[in-house]
Amino acid sequence: MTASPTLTCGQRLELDIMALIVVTPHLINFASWFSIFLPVVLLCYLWRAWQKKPLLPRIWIWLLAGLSAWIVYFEFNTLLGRDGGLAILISLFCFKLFESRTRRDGRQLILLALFCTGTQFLHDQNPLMMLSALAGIAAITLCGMRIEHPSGYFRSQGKTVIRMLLEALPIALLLFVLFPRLPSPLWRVPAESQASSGLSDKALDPGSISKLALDESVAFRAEFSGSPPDRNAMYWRGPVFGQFDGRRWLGAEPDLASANNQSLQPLSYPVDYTITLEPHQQRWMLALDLPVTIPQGARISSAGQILSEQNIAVRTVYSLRSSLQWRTVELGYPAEQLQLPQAGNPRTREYARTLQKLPPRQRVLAALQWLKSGNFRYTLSPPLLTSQDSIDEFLFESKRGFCEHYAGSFAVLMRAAGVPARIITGYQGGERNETGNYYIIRQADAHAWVEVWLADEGWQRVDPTAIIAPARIDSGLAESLPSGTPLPLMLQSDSSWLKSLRMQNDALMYLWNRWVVEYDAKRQLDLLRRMQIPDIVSWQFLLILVGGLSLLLFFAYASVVWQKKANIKVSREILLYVEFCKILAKKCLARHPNEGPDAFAQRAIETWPEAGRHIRQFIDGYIECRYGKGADEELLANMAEQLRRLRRMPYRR
Amino acid sequence: MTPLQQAFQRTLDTLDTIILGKRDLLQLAQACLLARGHLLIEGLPGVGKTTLAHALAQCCGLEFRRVQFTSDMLPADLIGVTVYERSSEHFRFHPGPLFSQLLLADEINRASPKTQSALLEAMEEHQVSVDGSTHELPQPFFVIATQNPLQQIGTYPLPESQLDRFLIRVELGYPDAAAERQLLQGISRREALHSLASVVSPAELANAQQAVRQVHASAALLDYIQALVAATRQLQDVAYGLSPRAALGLLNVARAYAWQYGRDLVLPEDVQQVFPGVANHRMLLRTTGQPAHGVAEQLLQRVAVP
Repeated sequence: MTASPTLTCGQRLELDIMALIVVTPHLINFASWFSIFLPVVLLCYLWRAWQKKPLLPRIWIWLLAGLSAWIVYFEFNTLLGRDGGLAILISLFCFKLFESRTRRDGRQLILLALFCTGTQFLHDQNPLMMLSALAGIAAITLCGMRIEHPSGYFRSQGKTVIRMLLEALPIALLLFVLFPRLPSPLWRVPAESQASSGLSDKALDPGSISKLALDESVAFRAEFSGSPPDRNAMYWRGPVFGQFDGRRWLGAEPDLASANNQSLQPLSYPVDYTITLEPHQQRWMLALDLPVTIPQGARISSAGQILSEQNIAVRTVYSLRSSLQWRTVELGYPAEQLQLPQAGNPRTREYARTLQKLPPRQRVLAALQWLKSGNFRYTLSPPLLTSQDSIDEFLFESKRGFCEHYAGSFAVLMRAAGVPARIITGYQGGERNETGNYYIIRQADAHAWVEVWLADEGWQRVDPTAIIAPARIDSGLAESLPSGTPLPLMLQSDSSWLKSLRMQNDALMYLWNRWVVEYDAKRQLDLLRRMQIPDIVSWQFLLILVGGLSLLLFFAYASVVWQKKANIKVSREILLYVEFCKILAKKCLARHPNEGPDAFAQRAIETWPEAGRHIRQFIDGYIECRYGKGADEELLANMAEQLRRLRRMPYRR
Repeated sequence: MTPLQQAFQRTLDTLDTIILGKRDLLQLAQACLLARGHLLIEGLPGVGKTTLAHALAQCCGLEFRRVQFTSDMLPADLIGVTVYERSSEHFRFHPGPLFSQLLLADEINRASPKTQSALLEAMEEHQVSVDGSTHELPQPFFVIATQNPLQQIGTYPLPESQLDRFLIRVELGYPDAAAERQLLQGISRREALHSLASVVSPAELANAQQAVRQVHASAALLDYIQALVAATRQLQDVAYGLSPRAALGLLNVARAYAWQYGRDLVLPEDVQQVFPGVANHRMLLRTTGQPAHGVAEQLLQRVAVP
């Protein structure tokens, strides 16, 4: 076994630059002290390699690795998990570079670098990551080539790398589309638990929605397959609250068992759409009021709320059908939806008593009319309700509130008046992305409204906010607030160029997520069906996979052969010489590309003296043909004869 | 092998007894002579530069002159002067040391650029013009210049245009241990030089030079030479690649080399042997402006033989 050649300073330099390219996407995602520490260490190494200084002594490497581990622990409070683990991985990769002495170490480093590049998708899977991974792969391939052939030309090796990657691209695409995917992943990325803002299904406080009103982050995106409904009909249904404890509305444990007790009668044409829900770490899913079908892996509760079987921890795509107008027919009178605390809010109860004289339907209309004429105002910053009877305080004193105030007090009022009522939270409206032809619904679009139960119609939506501030429903939050309220950029209604740029970027990301990141087993199957292939496990599929791969390989092979043919005007002595080199390479030794025929022949004769006569004769003939006066038939025939003998001669050593 | 080739082989053997353990280098020097080029020898004082030149002259029976270059030397000291002669009442040209068949220009980089260029002009044109009359130099005319390493004090480095006039540069290093022991045990080199008989005559040399030109170089070989020369022009560290004159020189020396081996065709191996000698001093490094060392050898590793 021979010792592997030592890496030159130039190769160390190249490896270091490769390491920098590979770790940069990771470091940008960490954005911590660690992201400064590691580049500084790598740049020091770069400087030392540039100065042709030797490697650091081992004790230094240990010290640096220890320091790095300490920084990681200090920053992430752990050495495991997604971020901590990745940080440790890439710092170990860098310190492996520090102790790489030989070409063998360099090869290991190349493989590690490929792994590190793969792990960068644990941070994020956006197109930028894809581009940086491609750059990383190009750098790694080039570096690998420089390690194996240090004396080659940089430029021509770069060209080779680009050509190789371009050739690999169709194969990668084919495998991406056709390689069988598991219906559910074998393991999940340990998501870093972040406090995600958004709606809660536990309790609805006064202020729990208005605090979202300035949040421009995206809750979900929706794409309609037909023409989209009007904006004021876009009520995206989320958690339902049915219990009032005197101050807050509480969400009941969703009743999945009795979901069949009610039946829904759609009264309008159905709307089909697809929702891409951002992860919110809870179970509820959104649907346009009111869903007719439910997506796979989800169930619907008796309150018309769609629940996923697991918490939504990753971006989820699902398709739904909803009806915008409906009638529900229930088996029983929902008496539990009249629940109110024993005492409290006397003025509200008193007013409700006056309503009880009317039939139920008129009670609702009268209360709405009362709100409309009551000088109520819609505001983001309502005064704090301090008294015990907060509903009284709001309805009769402050009269300023956000949607949850109106919804909450209206539902209490209805229950007090003997009309079953509950609160629905969710989102209302949405912003159309012209580029991608879909709607973006932000946290700021969070909304709360009321459903009342009427004997002949079932549950029907009543939105008191629409009475107070019609602009909120018709054109969005920005229009409904007094002008001068400071809003984040994406919530402002006038369109600046920056906003339109961000919308276009959003469209790009949306397409990327839908077609690349979320391309799963189901979508694969859909695509296959469209290509008339019934299933993954079928001969048609195997045919197209194997056939496609072999077709690509055939093209690659054919292009190489064709190129070779085109490059050399092949004459017979060259063919014979190539054959000669092949035979010798197989039997005893290979020709160096820069070796002339005579030198090669001498080397060959030294290693294989028994065949010396034939080798000599062949080479003499070749020299005469190629470098002398030219080929003649007799010489060529003799060369071919020597070649035949050489091929038959056994090589023993 | 023709008798002429054998004679030159014997010359080489004889030279080998004077300069010990440097046969490759001697062969290169002789190839340079056969290819009608001029030779530049670089090395420390005392490694045998002068001895090599002297021995080469002796073996080929050439008329030998030696000029020690100094910083106050003038072109006239080299070319000669025109003097008024009272007896004949005419100006007469007294030829200088330049008018010899083999001129050893010792320590050429100690002379001022003016003198250097006078010599180099004569090398290229094979004639000198003094006071309006042109004087032909003798045939053959062969210059061996020696040069100390460039780092030494008081030297005027040759500019690249003048380095290009030398067909081959060889570096004469220290002898190996065995050769040095033999040197210490043997007789004085100077005495040996004096007792050296000429092996070939100037006329035979001229014939040999003629024969070298007939050595066949095939299209495949010219491809290889062109690939090598093109490669020098793509190097990043090197300011300029090889000139067409250098390419022609490379071919001629390779021919001479092949001829020395008794072959009538040039092989890529011949080119590889002579390439460092021909190329290295013509490729000036971008960083230091100094001639490259070892770059040509690296190039040979990279460029494939067709």
